[in-house]
Amino acid sequence: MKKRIMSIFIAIIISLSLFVSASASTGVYVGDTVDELSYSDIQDFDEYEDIEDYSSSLEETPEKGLPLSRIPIALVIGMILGFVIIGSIVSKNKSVRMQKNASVYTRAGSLVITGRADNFLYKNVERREKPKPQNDKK
Amino acid sequence: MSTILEQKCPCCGGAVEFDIGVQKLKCPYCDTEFDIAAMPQDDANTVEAINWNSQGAQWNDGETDSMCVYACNSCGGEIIADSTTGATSCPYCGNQVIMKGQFSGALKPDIVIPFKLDKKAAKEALKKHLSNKKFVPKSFLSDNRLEEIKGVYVPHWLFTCDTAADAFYKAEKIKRWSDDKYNYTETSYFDIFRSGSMGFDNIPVDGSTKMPDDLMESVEPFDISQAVDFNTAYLAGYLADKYDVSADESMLRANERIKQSIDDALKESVVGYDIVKSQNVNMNIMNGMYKYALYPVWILNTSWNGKKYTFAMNGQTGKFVGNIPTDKKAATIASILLGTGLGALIYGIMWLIELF
Repeated sequence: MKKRIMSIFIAIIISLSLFVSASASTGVYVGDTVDELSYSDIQDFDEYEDIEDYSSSLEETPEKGLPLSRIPIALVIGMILGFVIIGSIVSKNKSVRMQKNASVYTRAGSLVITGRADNFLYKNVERREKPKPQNDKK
Repeated sequence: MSTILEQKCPCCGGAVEFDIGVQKLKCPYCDTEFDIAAMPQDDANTVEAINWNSQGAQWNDGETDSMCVYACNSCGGEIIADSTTGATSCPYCGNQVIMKGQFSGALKPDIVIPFKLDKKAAKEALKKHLSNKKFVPKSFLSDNRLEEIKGVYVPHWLFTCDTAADAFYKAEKIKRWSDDKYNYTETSYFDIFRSGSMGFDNIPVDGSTKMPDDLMESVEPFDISQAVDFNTAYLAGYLADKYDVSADESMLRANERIKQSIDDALKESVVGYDIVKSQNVNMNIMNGMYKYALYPVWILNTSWNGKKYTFAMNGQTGKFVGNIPTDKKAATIASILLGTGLGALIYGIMWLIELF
């Protein structure tokens, strides 16, 4: 039991460290962005009247990393998985149950299918609009 | 409390009477006469009559119908047993007693599977069963005491039959695709019919109300190939009961299991669909036969925290079953810790996916 708790604790530490590094990467550093300018970025620069307009456009660049709103989603999924895993372990403590069927007592090779019919009834088609991507800035 | 007064002759102790002739008290045994005034009126002559009134309940009508009294052949001790008890041990001398009348005539079992595993194996199996379980309260493992362990021949009805069934199902096929603007889901619905036949051999149904049905079904299966013709000698050293659930009553359970089996078998033949749901199964049973058998089961009773826990072991194959309590607090804490760790891991994976 203690070993299990320790291993779970270590998993939490590793995961939290990933989380912290992910959170740290959500900011945009203008210095890094300038170093990564590509040829297309330089072309874009010509479209701006001055460097201030260009700098403010860089600040509008979509942030890297995940929004913090994903944390509760990840936690909820994790909690559901955690309860399901522990629940399956605990369910092994119950071994008394009625048998569902008598499959163990079927005579070997005695199953014979004597009739079959598959009849089509109707079909439904549903369509859902795809989420539109964000417009590119100009 | 009433007291009865009896005049006794001070000479011989006999009961004196009033003699009409002499108008005195006269002892009919020693002929001594006494004046009435001279007769001592002390408590020493008082015969006490003590009446105890029972406050206990009396047997109601029918309560004793299920009880039988036997005499032990070894010590003569009186054994009071249930009317279904077929073999037991004398509570006075421990001698094994078999009630022959319980297994004779129409009540004679057709077959019996003798015990293959002994009491020691049952105790070892209990230890093993408890050792590899998680989230069991520590005090259950240390404090629970094995109160009773008994080898019992449990009466079973064995059903053999051929079955024919018609089964109806609803099925769906799901197809997905997309274009630039939309995601499409096409669901096609079908009515499915299957008919088939299947044979079953020796489906056991517990024939004793004293044994929980779910416990007996949990220790299945038994290997019928090792069954032998019944002989009372096999019962020596073990407990045994005769059936008190008739074959007709047991048939209902057998029918349930047969119906589910043939439904599952026919459903497996419905292929190529994403969803298949059972609607109805009509079943006919032909060539049905049943037998009366005694199956060996070790029953172990323990107690913990005022509750009884019953375990059972298949006396032939060694399959061990029994429900164990769960430490809910520890399980909840473990779930929360694991859930938090998994949540953080999922967030990290989402970040990595976004990064690359």
